[in-house]
Amino acid sequence: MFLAILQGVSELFPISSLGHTVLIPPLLHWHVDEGDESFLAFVVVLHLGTALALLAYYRNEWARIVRALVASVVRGRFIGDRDERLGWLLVVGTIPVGILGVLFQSSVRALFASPIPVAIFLMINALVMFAGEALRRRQHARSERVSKPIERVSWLEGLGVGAAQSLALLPGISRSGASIVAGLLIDLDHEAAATYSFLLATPVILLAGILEIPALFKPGVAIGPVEAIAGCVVAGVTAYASVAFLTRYFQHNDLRPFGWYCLLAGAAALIIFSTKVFS
Amino acid sequence: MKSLAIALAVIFVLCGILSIVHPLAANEMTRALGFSNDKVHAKHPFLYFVLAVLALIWLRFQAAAAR
Repeated sequence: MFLAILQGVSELFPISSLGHTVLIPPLLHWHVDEGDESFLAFVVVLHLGTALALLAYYRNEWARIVRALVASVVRGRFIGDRDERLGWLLVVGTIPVGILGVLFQSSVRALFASPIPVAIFLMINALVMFAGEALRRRQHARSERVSKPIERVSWLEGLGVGAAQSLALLPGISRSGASIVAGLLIDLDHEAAATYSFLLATPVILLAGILEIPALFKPGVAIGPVEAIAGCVVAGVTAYASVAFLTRYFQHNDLRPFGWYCLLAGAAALIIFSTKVFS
Repeated sequence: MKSLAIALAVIFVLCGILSIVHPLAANEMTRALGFSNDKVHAKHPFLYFVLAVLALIWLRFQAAAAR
């Protein structure tokens, strides 16, 4: 249940779910084998819960976007409708993370998914958020630049925000943190950048979960249906509450508190695990 | 641009087929691309076929614009 709550919260808060999954078990002296079939199957269930929560929260947006995309393909041309443009921006933004994720996720995790690199990446995640906020304030202080709505994002900017998500392949870098910072730098306000980030994350998390479903049926997986359903529901409810909180939070606040958290958590983890290594 | 869209669709379909039959010797590159013969992986063919479909949609948009 703790893992389900951790996944539901940390997947959407800009604090890196993967980083926390790597750091917390050894900190609490849990013996979690992250290559174990049962653990991987449980993680799949948690991802599905998170993705379903995002779909439920943005159900009206997704219904309009899917209708607009289907109509657009049938028509064979753009009409410039808001939902159609947002839909294609999400498709364009998902391509980089889809390609890089499938091609390099295993290699990157094998290289970096241990506590010390994760602690360092968590601090880098903090610096990215601080730098993003500072750059945005500087851009808007020097000129008359004003925030724009999501549907005015250009194709190249959409591709850039999608590519920023790919940084989250590095455990410790947050998907939502990277994409919200990228959104801020293309003149979205915090609320629009967070909404765009969550919409962009939905197909990635959902597809990653669906494509790993066969892991649930591998021999040696010791997860019963009750545990699976309970994990999915808890992760889903927590993720729903998280996205509801964050969309309100970003109406008036920025990324800096999450930056401070990541910086302090990363530094503490680095000290703890370095002293363990050297003692 | 139409020919580029067709070429991309064909390349991605071929890559999808290669990643299903995975006939190449395993090394870092063939593993990353899903072509290595040491592991069956569902994600690679899915990715290639999705990219092929997107290339065909791009072709459709160009064809409709040309009419």
